[in-house]
Amino acid sequence: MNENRPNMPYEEDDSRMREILGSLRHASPPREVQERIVQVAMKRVKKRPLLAHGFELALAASAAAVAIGVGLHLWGPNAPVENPLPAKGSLHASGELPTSFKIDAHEVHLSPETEVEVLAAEPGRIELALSSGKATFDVQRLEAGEVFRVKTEHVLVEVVGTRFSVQSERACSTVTVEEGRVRVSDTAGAVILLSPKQQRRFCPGANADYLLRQALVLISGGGSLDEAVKLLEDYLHSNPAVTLEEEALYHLCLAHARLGNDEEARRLAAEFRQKFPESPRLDRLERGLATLP
Amino acid sequence: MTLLERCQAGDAAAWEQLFRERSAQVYRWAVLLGLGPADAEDAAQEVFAIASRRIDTCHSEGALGSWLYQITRRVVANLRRTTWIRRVLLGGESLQPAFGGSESPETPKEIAIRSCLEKLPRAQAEVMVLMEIEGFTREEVADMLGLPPGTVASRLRLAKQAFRRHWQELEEAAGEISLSWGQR
Repeated sequence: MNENRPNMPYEEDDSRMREILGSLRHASPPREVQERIVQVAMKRVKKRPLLAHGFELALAASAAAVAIGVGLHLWGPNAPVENPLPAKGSLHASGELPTSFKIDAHEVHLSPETEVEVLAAEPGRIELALSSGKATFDVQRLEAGEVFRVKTEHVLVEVVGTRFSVQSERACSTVTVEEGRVRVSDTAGAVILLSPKQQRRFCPGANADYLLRQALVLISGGGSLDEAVKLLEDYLHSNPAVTLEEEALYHLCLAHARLGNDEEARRLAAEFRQKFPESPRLDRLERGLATLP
Repeated sequence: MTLLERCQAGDAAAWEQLFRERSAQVYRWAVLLGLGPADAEDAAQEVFAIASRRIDTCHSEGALGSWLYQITRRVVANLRRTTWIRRVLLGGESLQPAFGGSESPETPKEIAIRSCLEKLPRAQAEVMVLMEIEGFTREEVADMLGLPPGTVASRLRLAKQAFRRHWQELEEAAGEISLSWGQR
């Protein structure tokens, strides 16, 4: 890490960063792009009807009057104050401490360094995007037609009235259900239902390949075998039809053997034999396992 | 009359002046918040379209920059959402020069900075862009983003740590003297 470099005091390093970033302070688009932006924007301004401003105000005033009237009629003057829905596009982030917020009657608990963006928040329809970290959702029972969704880069989780958590990491998302049931769709369109106490990791194809690459780097470079096993397991669980399953299973089996997990290695070897009976790797695998006690 | 008041009165010349004065800034924000050049151009046009419809909600000339930024970040977030599937399924496209064109000597540095920003959590990158590139103070950024100043400071600290790390990785990968963190 840079902070530990002996000949680079932190303050000096910081000012260098400022200098690098500051080089973009006056960056401009090419002249023709700037001109296009102005011309298109001018066309849009000119298209705006002269009466639009007054008309919008009048429309807003009428809508407000109708809304107030309907509100008074439905809820009366002593109606309880509802928890206001957060604005669409608003961001809820925890710093170094966990934090919580409410959306309607539902509760969202953010672990440290977590960010959730509100994609939609209206009665009966809540959609959130978890961009990083882990969030736990306590969702009240939903009526028919009501929607509570949480999206990460890797999955879309739809609630059927429940308590669950979603964790988004670089290559995968983990969904854990405590109560109720959730429906999860991955980026390939596969949909599964998760029941209470079930947990599932989702690592879409492009990201999953990254897991396999990392595992092979660890194995070939003499890195942590435990870490490689975890990556390979994530890869294999990422999708029922991962493209390099044969390679992943082969290395997972040998990694377990090298770690001394003989029973697991044998189980995986049997699985490999069943799935890939024609594989040229089968012979090497069996020779490798023959040395096990 | 101020520029803002003239725009609010529907003066076309004032609008053109505002667009000319602010187009580079809005485009730059869009790029630094993670859009490619083509999307940033669309975003800038959309920002100005929204601004022209909602100019009455801007209350002072001094707040114009901050007000335009609020619109920009929403437009960028929407654009990023609509390109979500494209980014996830097709993987990240290589960054295209957004400012000087491929022949500009500054382009490698621009691409390097943007690729490091791209790797940061978006909220951290946003704070870093506003403070370290745009030169806003911590209090101004806190006001713009509706955050406590302490959160802004904390995000900036994390952003700097991560940015420094990514920059060093780039430097090691490229071996380019021009990217060297320690060069003077």
